[in-house]
Amino acid sequence: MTESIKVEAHELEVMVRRVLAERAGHRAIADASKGADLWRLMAELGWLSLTAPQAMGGLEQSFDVLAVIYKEMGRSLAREPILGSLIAGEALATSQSSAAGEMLRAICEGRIRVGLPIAPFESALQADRAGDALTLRGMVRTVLHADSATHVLIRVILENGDGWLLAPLAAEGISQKDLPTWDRTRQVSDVSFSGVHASSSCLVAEGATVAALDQQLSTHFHLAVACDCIGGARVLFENTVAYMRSRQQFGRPIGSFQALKHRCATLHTWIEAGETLIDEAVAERRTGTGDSLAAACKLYASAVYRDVAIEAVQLHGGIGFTWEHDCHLFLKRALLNEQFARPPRAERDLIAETLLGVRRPAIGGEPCW
Amino acid sequence: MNVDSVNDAEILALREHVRGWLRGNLPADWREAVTGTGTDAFVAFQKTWFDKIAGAGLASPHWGPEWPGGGRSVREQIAIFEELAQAGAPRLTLHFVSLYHAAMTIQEWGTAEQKATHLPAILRGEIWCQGFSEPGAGSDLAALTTRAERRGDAYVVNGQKVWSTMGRHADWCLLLVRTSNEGPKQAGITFLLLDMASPGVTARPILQATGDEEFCEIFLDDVEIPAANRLGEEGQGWQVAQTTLSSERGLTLVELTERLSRSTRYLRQSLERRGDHDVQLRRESVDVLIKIRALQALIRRAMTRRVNGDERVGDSSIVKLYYAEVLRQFTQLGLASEDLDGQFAQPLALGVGQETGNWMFDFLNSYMWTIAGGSNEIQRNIVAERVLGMPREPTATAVSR
Repeated sequence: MTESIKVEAHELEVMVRRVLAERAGHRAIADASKGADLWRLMAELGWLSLTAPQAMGGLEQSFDVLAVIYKEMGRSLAREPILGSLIAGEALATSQSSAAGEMLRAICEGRIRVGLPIAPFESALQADRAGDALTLRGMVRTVLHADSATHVLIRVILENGDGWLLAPLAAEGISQKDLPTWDRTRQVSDVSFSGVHASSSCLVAEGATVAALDQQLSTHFHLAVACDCIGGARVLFENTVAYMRSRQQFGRPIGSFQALKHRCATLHTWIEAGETLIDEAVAERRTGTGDSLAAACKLYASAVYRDVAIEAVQLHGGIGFTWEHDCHLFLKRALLNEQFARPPRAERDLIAETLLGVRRPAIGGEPCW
Repeated sequence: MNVDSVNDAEILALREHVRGWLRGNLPADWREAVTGTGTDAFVAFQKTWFDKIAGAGLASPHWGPEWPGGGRSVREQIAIFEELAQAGAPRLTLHFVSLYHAAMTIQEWGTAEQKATHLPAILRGEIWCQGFSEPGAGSDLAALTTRAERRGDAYVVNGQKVWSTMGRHADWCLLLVRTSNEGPKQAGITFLLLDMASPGVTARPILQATGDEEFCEIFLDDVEIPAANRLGEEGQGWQVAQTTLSSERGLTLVELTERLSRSTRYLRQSLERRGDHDVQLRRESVDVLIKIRALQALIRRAMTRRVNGDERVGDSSIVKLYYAEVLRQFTQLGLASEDLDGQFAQPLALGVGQETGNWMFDFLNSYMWTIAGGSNEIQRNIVAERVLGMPREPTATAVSR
């Protein structure tokens, strides 16, 4: 069973890469219709139902396949709302809401596209409940993909504690303000809710289930961002090495100069380390373990992405510094990724305690090899 | 998915066995015996420890199955090293070259007689050193000039070797010599097995920046080596040496990474002493601990590939580069965490590997990994050229002086 999932992950990678190369394109930044076409295709190809429960029409695969999707979308600097949609999907799979099945099916079929705050665990809306109706109040800052989303997944503050809500964006009282981020590969907006009415069936989770869901979604979120980072770092690095093997100065390829070769070797080592760490965290996710390794992956992979991108500009020389060349797109996406969930310093503070332990294989526990 | 026939239950049983043996045979205060007590105490301790661990069949898991303790699968070897490292057991530094470099090279290239002479002796505690590098031949090892002239049924050797680990205590030496100046420099190299008790051999210790003396210079003045002690053919020495040079990768880094992971306790102790207000130290610690975790993942992947017969070119270089970088960062952070206290010399603990807990010593010692066993710069050349396909270095003149 394990072997067949592995094979599928590689086949999936080949297919996803091909589809994205043909259809996506950070150059198609302003073309909304192209984005809609791609999303439809993604739904048809089953990418949006890979991990959904079989009972709800999904393929019930493990997180490994999502890692493939996230990495490939990172490689192609994709602007599609995959992060919010898949995270909402995970939340809906265990939701007690009467509308959960319907909403999940709609996500799988591409009819619901979900935006998500950049800091989803630190944003919340006030939700006043009356019977089956909720009235939403507040401002959700820095929401990703609100431009192409139909819903946004947000935490809400209810009378009995926190909850998670999948709020429809086509409702009266919602206004969006697009924020001009340096990263032009994704849209970020502030979304304000002034007395917006929503059904309480939009509540994905509340009460006792929220704490566990927080952990689950946090792990998913951190791993997804880590994958976006390492996918972007890897393709940028590959393109940089290819450039250095072809660009000639002083009668030879610039890649033949030892100083530059050595910098590339170092970058390759960092990317390998990031990829391998993420692979292990993804494998651990299969066994349902905790969040600290996922957060560590995001910290490390985002730092690697940033540093690879900084070097890539330099290694391309003058053209690396132009607007027309891709390098700055990767660099700016890397810098924004670093801020996802919380800024790197805050992330370090949060994981400091859990990470300062040494793991050891226990007798009867899972062996290292 | 792996080709290894040993199953998980057997690995767990092996781990339990090693732990049990260590509980019964490793004195809790062993480090005291080698801390601040000098080289003689270190040598005596290493010999005693070797006898114990070889007697338990745990010194030679990487040898062929026909040898006591040998024939272990890669997964079993890894399990043994992990258990030794996690228990903080002594490293076999005195017998390292014997068990690995000498044993693997002789097993592959030796005649039946050479194998019968040396391999059992190694398991009885015979100590070997390497005579490869020279003052003028480090990274460019093939440029070596120690000369061997054939006279009758012996070679007469003159020259000098440097950076020979444990040379002063060695019984035998793996010696690379030049038998010809014609043709490419590699083609004129021959591999000899030198009895260190031979007349004309002088071993002089090299004092390191760390204050200990792990290496020696070896001076060879008209040393006679029987032709029967040649490994492989005359002029085949470079090829033979490739076996030696590749024998120390892989498992060493498994062991060292486990020890590194274990020594993070010293960083935690520093953090506890510094208190909650030292936010920067805590953040920098998080970064380096994540990298140690990534290093473990990298090594696991490299060894899994090895178990599956799927080793990639450059894997060992990438692992070594990353280990060297992480070790430097870790020891430097540990040193910084001590502030002024770290600047005061402590008694040295010898033969405990990279995790003495003496931060300045560990930091200085990290150069062993950035320079020795193929320097960072050489490893980067390998990765750039053989993994990334970047153009190769222009070679120095192929013909030796």
